Amino acid sequence: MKKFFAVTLGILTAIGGFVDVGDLVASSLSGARFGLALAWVVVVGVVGICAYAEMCGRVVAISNRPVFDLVRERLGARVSLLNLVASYLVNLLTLGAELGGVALALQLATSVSYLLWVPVAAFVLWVVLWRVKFETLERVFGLLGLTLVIFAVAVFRLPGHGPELWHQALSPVPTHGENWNTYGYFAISLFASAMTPYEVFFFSSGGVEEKWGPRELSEMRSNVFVGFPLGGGLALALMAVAAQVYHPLNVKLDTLGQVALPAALAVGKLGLAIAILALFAVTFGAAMETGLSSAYVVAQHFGWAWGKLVPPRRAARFHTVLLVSVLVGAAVLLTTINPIQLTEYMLVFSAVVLPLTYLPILVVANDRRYLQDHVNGKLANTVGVVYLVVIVVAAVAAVPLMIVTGAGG
Amino acid sequence: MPSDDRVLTTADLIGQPAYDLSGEYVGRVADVTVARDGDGRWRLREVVVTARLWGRLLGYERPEQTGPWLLVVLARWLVRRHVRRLPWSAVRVGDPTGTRG
Amino acid sequence: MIGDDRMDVGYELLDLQILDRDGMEVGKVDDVEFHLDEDGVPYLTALLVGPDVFGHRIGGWLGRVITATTRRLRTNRSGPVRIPYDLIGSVRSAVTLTVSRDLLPEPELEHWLREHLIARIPGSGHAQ
Repeated sequence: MKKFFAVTLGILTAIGGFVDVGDLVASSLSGARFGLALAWVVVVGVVGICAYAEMCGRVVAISNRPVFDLVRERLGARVSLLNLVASYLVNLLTLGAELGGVALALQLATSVSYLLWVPVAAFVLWVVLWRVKFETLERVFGLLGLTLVIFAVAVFRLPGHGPELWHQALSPVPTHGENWNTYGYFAISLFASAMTPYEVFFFSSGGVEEKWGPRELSEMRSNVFVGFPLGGGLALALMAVAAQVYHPLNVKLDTLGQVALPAALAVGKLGLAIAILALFAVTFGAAMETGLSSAYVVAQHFGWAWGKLVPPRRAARFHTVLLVSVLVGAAVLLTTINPIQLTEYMLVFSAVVLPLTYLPILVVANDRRYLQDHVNGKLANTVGVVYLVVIVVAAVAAVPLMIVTGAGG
Repeated sequence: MPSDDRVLTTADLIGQPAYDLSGEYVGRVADVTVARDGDGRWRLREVVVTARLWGRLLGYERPEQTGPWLLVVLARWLVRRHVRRLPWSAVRVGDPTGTRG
Repeated sequence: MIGDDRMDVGYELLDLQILDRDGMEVGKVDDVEFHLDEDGVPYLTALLVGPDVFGHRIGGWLGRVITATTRRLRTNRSGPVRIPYDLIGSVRSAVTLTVSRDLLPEPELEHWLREHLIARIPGSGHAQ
């Protein structure tokens, strides 16, 4: 019974923790522009992140080392330094975007300008990371993220949730007024939002802190293979409500309030309140993860002590990077860049960096020195290589499409 | 940076040009191999030289390294043909008249 | 590897994680040191840990920046952390030492950041 409870808790945490500001923005924007014509991209992205997260989890459980730690010795110093610089910068952008999402959610709740919330949110974020137990953080915000289910409820309470939505989903072509360029641009953003780099760094580092061993393999797999797809389902719900409300009106989505509005239309004031809570929970939870990821990748590249299990005095460099990263993330927002736009840029640059993130994982997961008999089988390798090709195509096309379409236009 | 002429690091070896004993260029040093002797010391035995750009591609050019079929085939095709192992005593590293080897 | 008798230094030793006797992180193998024996043949004498050593090895523009920054920030003349080869217990997926990391010189950056920043924040002595 206790085991069942633990497994369920793990899955629920994974579901609630899946969506972040990138998914919020990409799903909603795609829904407004294309209806459900891009729903298939979410499915493709979820399969990809499931495959690679399972590889990461397996590497951690068997070798007891986080994946990024192994990248430097496997790929060599020069390439992994390049990987570090790119990964860290994208992580920083993501942290800024998540903090922006937190501040916007607080603005929705209080009508106080998001810019005033940025320093507050950054400070609270850092204090929480400094003092609060890792496992507690993950559980609380993972479960709070489940409030996103209000959008799934909204799908069924809004008009036009039947055959029209299905029809859109089954015709994956640009809708009226759109062309293949904008279609491709949004597809890449959606794909990048499902496979953002920080997810795997955080996942594998967390596994080391929680001391996963071979016995945790099945629990890890249930979290990944059940939790992530259901989390992707929540992202699809966001796309669907945007499709129902905004697509027929041809409205351009550019505020977080518009993302939350369908919940209000469907369920009233209570729906809006739950939606705002959901937006806050997923962005704050993701801000914690990206903040930690930024420090993890630097510390693990240089071999420093890292993590929350040692007193900060014994991991001063790690904690300094953490502090500096949160400060820089807040500083980026205080330049008054639109947080939604920051998120869109973040997704494009994530797409560009994806090959650097995922190729090393595929390589490490095949190395018998780390995994002995648990190396990738034919299925894992086939899926891994296919997705690597997709990732490279997306990475190459991302910036040109961004330029050609003017970032979606 | 070694201040003592009798101290080396891999920075002085790997990536440097290598020449055979007659002064002919044989490639760049991609790696060095050490082996443990009877007195417990790990002495430098071989250098791995590459005539082309890459001396190493994810380790897949090595026969014992497993990986996804596509990447392994790619690495072996790109790297294996151009890489050689030479005894340390048969090369000079750095310059053709070098004091090494 | 200790156990095997041959090793490709670049592929099997460089950039490996170094752990102390208790499994605590010491650093990465940023480079290794050779001395020349009586016949002029190099043999391994130590592991070298430090950003300046790392920067020197990778070379290029970024490597030089890292090395120069590290050197400039050094207050004492100690240089990189040098771990004599006989302190190594085993080399498998990581290098494990036979001693605790408290016996090794502390990296300058860690020391400075702890004294001037982290230790001044309340709660820095507690783990989670």
